[in-house]
Amino acid sequence: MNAKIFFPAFVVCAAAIYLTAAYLPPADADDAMQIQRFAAIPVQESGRIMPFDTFARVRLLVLGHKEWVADVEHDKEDKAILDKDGQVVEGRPMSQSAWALDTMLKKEPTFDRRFIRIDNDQVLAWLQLNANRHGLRFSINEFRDNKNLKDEIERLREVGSEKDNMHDAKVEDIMQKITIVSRMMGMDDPHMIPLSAKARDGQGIRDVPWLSFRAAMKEDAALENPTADQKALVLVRNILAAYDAGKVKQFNSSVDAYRVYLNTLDPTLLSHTVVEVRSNHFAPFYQCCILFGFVFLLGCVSWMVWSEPLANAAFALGVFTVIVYTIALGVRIWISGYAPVTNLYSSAIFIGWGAAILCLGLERIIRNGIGSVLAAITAFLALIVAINLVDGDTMGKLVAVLESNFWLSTHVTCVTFGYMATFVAGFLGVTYVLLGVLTNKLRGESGVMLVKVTYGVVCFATLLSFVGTVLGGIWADQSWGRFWGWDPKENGALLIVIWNAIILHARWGGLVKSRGVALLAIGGNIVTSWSWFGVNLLGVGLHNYGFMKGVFTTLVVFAIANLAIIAIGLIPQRQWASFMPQRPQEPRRPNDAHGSVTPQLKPA
Amino acid sequence: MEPTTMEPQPALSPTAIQVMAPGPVPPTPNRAAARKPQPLPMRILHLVSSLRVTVVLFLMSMVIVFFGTLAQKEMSNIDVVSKYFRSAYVLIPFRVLSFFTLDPKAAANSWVLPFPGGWTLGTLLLINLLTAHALRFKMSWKKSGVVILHFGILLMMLGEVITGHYAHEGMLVMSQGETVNYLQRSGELELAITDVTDPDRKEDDIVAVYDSALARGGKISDKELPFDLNVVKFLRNSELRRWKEGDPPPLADTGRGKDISAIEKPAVQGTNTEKQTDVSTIVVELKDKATGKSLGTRVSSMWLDPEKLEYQGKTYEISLRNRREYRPFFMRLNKAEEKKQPNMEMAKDYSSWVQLIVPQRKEDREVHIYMNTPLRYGGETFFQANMSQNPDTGVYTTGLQVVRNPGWILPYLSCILVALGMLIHFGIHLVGFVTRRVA
Repeated sequence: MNAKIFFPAFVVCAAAIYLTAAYLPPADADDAMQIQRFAAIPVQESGRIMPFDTFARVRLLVLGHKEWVADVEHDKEDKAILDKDGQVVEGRPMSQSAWALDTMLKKEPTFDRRFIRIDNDQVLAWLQLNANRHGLRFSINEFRDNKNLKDEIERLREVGSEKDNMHDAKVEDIMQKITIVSRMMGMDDPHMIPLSAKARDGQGIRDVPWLSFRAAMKEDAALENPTADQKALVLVRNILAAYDAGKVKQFNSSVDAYRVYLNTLDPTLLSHTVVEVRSNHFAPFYQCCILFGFVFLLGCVSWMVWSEPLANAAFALGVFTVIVYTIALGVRIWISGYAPVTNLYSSAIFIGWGAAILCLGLERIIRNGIGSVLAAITAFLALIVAINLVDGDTMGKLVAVLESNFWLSTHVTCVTFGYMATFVAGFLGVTYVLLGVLTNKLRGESGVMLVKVTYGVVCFATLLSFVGTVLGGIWADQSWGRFWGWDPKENGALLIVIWNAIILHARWGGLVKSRGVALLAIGGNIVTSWSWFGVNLLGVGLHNYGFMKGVFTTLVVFAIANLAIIAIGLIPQRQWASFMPQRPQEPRRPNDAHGSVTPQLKPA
Repeated sequence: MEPTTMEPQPALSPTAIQVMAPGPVPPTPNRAAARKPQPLPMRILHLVSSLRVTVVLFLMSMVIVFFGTLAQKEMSNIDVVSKYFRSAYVLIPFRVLSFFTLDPKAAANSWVLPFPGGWTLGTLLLINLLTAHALRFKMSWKKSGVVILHFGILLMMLGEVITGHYAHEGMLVMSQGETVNYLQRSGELELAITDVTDPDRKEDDIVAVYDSALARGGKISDKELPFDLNVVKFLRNSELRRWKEGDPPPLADTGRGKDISAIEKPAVQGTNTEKQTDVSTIVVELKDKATGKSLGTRVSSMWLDPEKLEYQGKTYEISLRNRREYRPFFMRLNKAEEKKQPNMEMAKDYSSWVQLIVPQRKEDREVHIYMNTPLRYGGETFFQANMSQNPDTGVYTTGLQVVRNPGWILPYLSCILVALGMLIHFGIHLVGFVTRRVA
């Protein structure tokens, strides 16, 4: 069979097998507690209904900046087993839902699990904690009796924390984390008991505030007409009691009974949460990251050896990954009920998706592997940005003025696509410079085609960013009567539009040629990253300082890297590997002889 | 004669030219034209209409937009708009150019960079665009997209000019059950002296002194008043507190001002996300009109209720407040509702049910105004802007943003035209590209 077809098919099959394996949920043993079935129990957080599993993961993220926690080795009486240094022995990552249940029920090992991140050297030294520990996560037992901390918390409660005081801010941070944990231990969190039909008074079950277990129990005793759904309360109480007592059979039957009851309340509750639990476990965007890594490798290797089968495989795997990506995006939209972009995280996800599709589309035009590799790079980077932006629930509700799916799906989508296209043009520019300077791949038709494509993408970017920006103005006019207010975010979008217009006009006026277009397009990367993240930095002090500081550094590094590539691009083109004057009789160019290094343009 | 040729030019490299253009490269018509000796005015016109100038103006626009964004770190959005964007020129402080890293005491704090403002750049771009179309563009199908989209841009600029000169904004604030027939101009002040002698009066007799006069200070005289005013102190943004021993002397020597001292605060910045506004305070000295004798100094502040004073058998109320504009209709807040996201502090929707009463037209009806759904009435649009609830009484106060903008339709038209223009223009290019590829 022909390797050009066979090998890509093989790669896609391998990827499919890998994904299937990753998709299969961790099965709880038949004779153990069915934690995975419990994980889908709906709770109310960030204004929406989410599975208990997501609640647990979000708590872990907030407490420890990581979605999972390692279990500690413990004996039958739930006492942690210590090694010879008196440290707990960490085992495998445990189910997030089990962690949350243990914490809510104050089961012994939870005090020894390391899930609270404290990340300031001075604070760690002051608390006598090990500043060299990997991940900087500590257990409650490690600092709960610390006298320094107790005194300091007293002091802050009394005088309040001082602005711009790093020490105060960090102690405040620890206090907040302690509050989060103690709220869980007091069963004030999560809000897991729905309201009774009478208390809902005709409103949807999702739209009314659910009660925490503690509030529902208290109400039970005090009120004649409780608002909590009593049946749900009893069933949840059974689950918690069975878990606390370690009664496997009772736990499993209680979970099943509650799930059956939930389905009689509103079948869409569980149908959504079950999918979300699956998606949490599968982590589709993370899997896409991995697959794009392989697309990148295949594409790069195709420029050296076995070009056609590898390039085809890169493209096929790229398309396969985009399909997975699209499904994941669709599931997000379905669960949240919002248009795709609602916050910075989802804008990064969306930019990665659009960039992958656009670049793979370009690959169909230029057909030399560059499109596939670029798709992999841009989507990978966008996903990395997204994964680093996660600091809580990513599908939370929106403030009043943004609660409009019409404008979210027109203006926000359009502007985000504008960012995306500008980035793609920028990365095409980077490709032009790097491949041009370092390799001879851009000799002849390839280089010309690359610039033509860049130019086309700039046109596309201009259209999208202009229309998106103006739609934003129209939304503003619709909601508060002001089309354009020159506010920082609007200005950021305007900068992108003008920059794209500069590229096009400079090109039409003959002020720049191929190389100029490429270099200006790289500049677009800087302008767009400023609009995307930079304007948020202007409010420094009002946002989470640590988070924003990281963003600032990344932004500066990204800008400098792009400037460096522009500087490289300013080397006279005679010196570029691709544009060196060809000597008529080159002694030996084995790859060229096979016609594999410089893929020729094929007629469509 | 099309210097704005759409075909991407071949790469600079000799190799690329070999591949792309086997024949001699035809000289672009623009250069050919430039070689012929031309009269000076034409040469200037060609320069003015050139794409080189367009690109330079675009770059300068980016500079002004960028620094106009940064400047909002320490200046209010309204001030930045009038200084940077709706101005002929702007003196950009070195502090802004240096990303605010200057020491507050450094000498460089007084340095400025003069730069053309928004109006100037806009006008120059407009001249560039119009001359380009007059001189260089020949009507053809191929150019139709560009013409349409440039016309759209023209409309957008026109819209911004109309907004800048004619748009009018205010807030209509009312508590539940309250009837109101005026707007408040946010960011503009008036010192109002109202004759309240007759408790059964139908209409108020008001003398109002506006913002600019207050900031200028000095003597203010009006024939309706038996006394003159002299502005002693004007604080744009302030905080008040009860005077106690050891504080600087109290603000005024008469009335309640005797017990109050004030702290001046910096004006609210444009990037402020807490929706704060300036709260001003003023100290005025009253003088008898006939004798010029001082009647003492009094304080009036947006933090305080109006103060009453008796003079020559009449009672006056004196208050510093947002400038009011009266309307021939009344609005009464019947009901207000604030919906929260379940189990969160975050608002989901604000709703106001307002009775609209127009005596001359015998109109009296209830209207429902909520997020993203404004009321349009009498050439003005009323948007739900904010809402607050008194924690003690539970009474809601709603704020409606009132806007009159005769140019509001232009951005809509412009958006359609520019999008259409780009689609046509890029579409023609794309079709050409694909056709060549197939061929």
